[in-house]
Amino acid sequence: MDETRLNQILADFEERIRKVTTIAELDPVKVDFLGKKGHVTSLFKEMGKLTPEDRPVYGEKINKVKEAVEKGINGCEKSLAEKIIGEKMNSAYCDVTLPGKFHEIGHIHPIAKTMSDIVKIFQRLGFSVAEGPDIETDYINFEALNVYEWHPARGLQDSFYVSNKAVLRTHTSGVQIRTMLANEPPIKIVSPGRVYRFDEVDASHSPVFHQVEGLLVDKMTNFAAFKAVIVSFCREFFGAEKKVIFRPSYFPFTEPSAEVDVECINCNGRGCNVCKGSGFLEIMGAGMVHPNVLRNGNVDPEIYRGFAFGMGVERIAMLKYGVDDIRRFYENDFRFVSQF
Amino acid sequence: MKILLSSLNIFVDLSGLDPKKIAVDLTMGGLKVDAVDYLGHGLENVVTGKIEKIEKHPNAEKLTICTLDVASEKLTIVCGAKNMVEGDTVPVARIGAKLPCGLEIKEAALRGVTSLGMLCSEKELGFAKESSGLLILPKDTPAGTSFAKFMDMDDWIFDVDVTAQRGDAMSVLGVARDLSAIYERPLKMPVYKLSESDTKKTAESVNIKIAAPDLCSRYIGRVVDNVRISPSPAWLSRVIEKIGLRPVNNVVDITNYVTYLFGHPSHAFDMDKLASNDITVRRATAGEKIKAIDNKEYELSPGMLAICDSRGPQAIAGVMGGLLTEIGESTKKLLIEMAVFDPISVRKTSKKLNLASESSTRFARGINITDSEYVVNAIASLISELSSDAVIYAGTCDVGEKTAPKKQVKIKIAALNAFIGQTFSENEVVSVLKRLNFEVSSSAGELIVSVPPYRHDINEPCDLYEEFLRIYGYNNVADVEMLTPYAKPIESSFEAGEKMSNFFVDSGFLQCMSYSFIGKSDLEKICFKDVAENLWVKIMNPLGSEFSIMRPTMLFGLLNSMAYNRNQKSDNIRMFEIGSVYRLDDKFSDPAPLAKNHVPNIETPEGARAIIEDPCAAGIMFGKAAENQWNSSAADFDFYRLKGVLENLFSLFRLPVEFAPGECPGTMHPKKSAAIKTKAGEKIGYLGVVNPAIAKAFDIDYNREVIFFEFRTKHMVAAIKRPFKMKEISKFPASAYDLAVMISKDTSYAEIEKVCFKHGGKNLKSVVPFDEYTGEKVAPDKKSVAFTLTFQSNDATLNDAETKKAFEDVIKAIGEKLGGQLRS
Repeated sequence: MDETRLNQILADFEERIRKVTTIAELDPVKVDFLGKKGHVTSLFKEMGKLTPEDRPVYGEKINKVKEAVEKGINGCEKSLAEKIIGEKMNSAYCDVTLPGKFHEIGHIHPIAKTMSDIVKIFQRLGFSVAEGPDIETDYINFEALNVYEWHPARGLQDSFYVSNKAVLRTHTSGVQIRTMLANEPPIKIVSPGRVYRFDEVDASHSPVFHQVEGLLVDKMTNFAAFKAVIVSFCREFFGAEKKVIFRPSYFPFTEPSAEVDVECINCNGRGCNVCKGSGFLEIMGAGMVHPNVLRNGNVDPEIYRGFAFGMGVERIAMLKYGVDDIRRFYENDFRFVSQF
Repeated sequence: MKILLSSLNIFVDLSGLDPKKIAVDLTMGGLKVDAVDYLGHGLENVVTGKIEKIEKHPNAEKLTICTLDVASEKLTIVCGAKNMVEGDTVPVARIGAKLPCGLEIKEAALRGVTSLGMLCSEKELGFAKESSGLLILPKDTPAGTSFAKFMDMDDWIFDVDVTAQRGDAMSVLGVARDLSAIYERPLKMPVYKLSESDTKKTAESVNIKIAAPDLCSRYIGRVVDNVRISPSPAWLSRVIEKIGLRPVNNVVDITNYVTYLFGHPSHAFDMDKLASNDITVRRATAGEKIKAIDNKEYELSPGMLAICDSRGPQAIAGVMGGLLTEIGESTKKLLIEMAVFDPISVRKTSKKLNLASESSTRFARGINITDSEYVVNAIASLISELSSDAVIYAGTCDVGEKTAPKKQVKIKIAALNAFIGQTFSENEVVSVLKRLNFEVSSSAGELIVSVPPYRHDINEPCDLYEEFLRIYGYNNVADVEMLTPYAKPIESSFEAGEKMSNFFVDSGFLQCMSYSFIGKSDLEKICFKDVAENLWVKIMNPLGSEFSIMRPTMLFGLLNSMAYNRNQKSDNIRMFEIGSVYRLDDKFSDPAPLAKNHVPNIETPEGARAIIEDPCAAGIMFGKAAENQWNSSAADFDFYRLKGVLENLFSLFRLPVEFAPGECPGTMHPKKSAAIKTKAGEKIGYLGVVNPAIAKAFDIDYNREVIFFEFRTKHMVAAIKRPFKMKEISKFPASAYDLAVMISKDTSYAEIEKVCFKHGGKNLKSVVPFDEYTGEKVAPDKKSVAFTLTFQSNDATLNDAETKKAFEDVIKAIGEKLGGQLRS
């Protein structure tokens, strides 16, 4: 076993591999050199005949030959593969301007989407969702909320009755009472849901619509904290730079009561037809919970304070998405809903 | 409510304030101004001018050249009108005027003569839609004064939207009181001079009795005789017109004007038409009728308050006067009523009779008892001013209470500060309350606040906090972010609803929202019988019969939306709705516990039925998916496609369900429908092909299928919260065997699957069908079912003999138990 032989094997290999042009031609080369009876393999077999001193010297040399052969074969294999792939790619055809093939997806209704967007902001602020029935007792819907029997908001022309004592809720505020009766403060809830008012259907009125209302009751809260929560919501929902104004108003269930106006999302306060020139949009009613309402919820107004707020989802969706007719929300027109 | 700036100035000096600023300040102080307008808009450069000379235009036959005296100078104006003569006074639009009709006046040469303005017609000034010729003003009109001023148009009008609790603000005085507080300017009350008769006394000519003191706390009558009824002078009829009323005659206009000023409604009877001098304020008795001044007859019900003479009701208290005693041209002697009626009584009567008036809206909100005498005197004084011969009888007939019980509310400064979240000194608070006419005394940080008699809305400390805040300014309180203590979460369906909605959207469904109420004809259209008609929740006062029943199913709404969209040429439909369906409990309950637990219910002679609202998900499929894709050849949606969607959904929620044949409403195809049941056997809903007869009513051809589902989502809400642990994943290989059997058509796949698991041993992991065939190649009562059995163990690699044995056991069992034969 001498070096000349090793060099000869390597030289033979180089010559053979140079001539290989296909994977099929490469296989016999592999067998002839690395196979069981291959030239390189037989070199290892012959090592037994060497003296113990020579073995490591030659062993190292044979290994180097083997590595060179393996490297040659791998390199050849890789370049053949690249060649084949290259040819395949060259002959491929695909018109990338044709539309993609898709699994059709549906769409969330704009009212559900708006409601969810509103709720999620309050959830981040620590409020959880509470629900109540659409058909309410008149006690929960009215009296418990300080809307006494002969309040102007009551009566047949404003609400739908299913019996003398059951009404289609005119707001989701009844959930406040139900929640207070069932839970100890602190309470932080939002109640999204469907509400009903006795209004003929037209472009801006719907006898069925949606509200999101909220209630916070604890020992520390106050008017300043109430304002901060409402402002945070308005800025997150309508835009960080928006001015928010609290305007004194009246609701039987809050005292003090406020209407909350947000700078017009259409004109940014300059005045336009959306805000009727005022630069502001009325977006919610709110206030500090009236002590009678706390009492009706079994909450002691001497210990606890609260604030509540409520907004009409349709109105907000109409403003946000530029929808000019509330009836659109209930037609379920594919061409409309699929835009959301 | 419309209010003039000039009227406000009677009570508070608003000079130097921009009316637009006043509108903003009123709004931010709690009286919302919907609109503020300058009445003389467009009349800014219009003055009165006296025509000194009229000459013919040298170059135009139809034109004249007029010389106008406008006091400061003489103007030459070319005019086309014909109806004026020299000496007439007319409105002159000077250069720069922008008239209400849109015309802008510029210096112009008309056929060679320079014209320095325009003489105006009523139409051009915006007073009339049509007019012919110039507006000729009265002879005594001074030349050179502002036309707007001359016409009382140099004024502003506020449209104030007074909230329900602020009865006190339903007048000029009420609004002026707020302005006085806002601007810290004193309130001045006009003084009305009264020269009463020396001989005639009211008390001797009328005898008033209050028979219902709970509904009428005070009643003042005042007699004025020898009145001459005539049209009101210009100043008064103009005010009446501007605030949106119709001038009638001097007496009626005065009563309306005084109501406008002070908010305390009055009524004037023609005393000669009263049948007696005895007037009784009492509840009407059954069957009593009155013809009101609107010329309509009203039947009063017992309990309604009426002002009666010996014949019966002559006025519906606080709502409207009667026709019999109405003021007319011949009226000489008046009985002026100034009363205080119970707000709720007036509201009830007004609502019951469907009759509202300027008077009833004010009484319904509560008025000031203590001003009664002052206001009735104001009326008498104004009458004698406009009808100089009038004889005012001395004194009044004043029965009932003279004042309201004194109301005091105590507040602590510390409590107010804690409530607001900002620190105010006692002085600050007291000063604001005093500006609002509250009397305040203080001791040791506590304020004892006496409430003026007209503030019916102030009863508790929070009412005073609001009073302070609205004047201090809500927006002047600094926002303070506060971390409130952890509030424990409340159970709701929101999360499950969101998850379901997102799932359906991802599965290609469009979300719908339909009204919760539908019509009886809608339910008939879908042949709905699943809930008996006596258990439908019906609306007592629906908007129309089509909105009269709370939907017991969402099927109609979805079919309707499908039909709507197909009409819009969208032929492939996948829609869902998440909402409630409604029905009455079929069992009767004791009403007392229902009421105690606030369970909405309907009482019937047999007992109370609770109203049941079931939150549901429903959906509909029709047509095919991905129609708009190229090279696509999707088949129409069918039962299995929808079932697959629902199986996906229930598996996403980890809620195991079973689909059982039959047990579906008649709205479904009897064979192609299945009930959805929980593992415990509770039926939660169904899916199926809509009965073709019903689909036909929505324009669906017999050979096409609409697939529908509806199920209650209650269990979904619980399932989403249920804890679970992961299942171990086997490290060992699985071996699968395919199998095809010929079996009776009546044997369901579920039965086959059941037999497989029963006999396939513990290592049988899954049974998955890959083909079902009925048709020509098999006998008519047979079907071929092919499926894959997969065996796998978590503990070891299975040996072939073992699985082969299990596989053969399955084949044998299918043969023995179900009569199925292996297909080769």
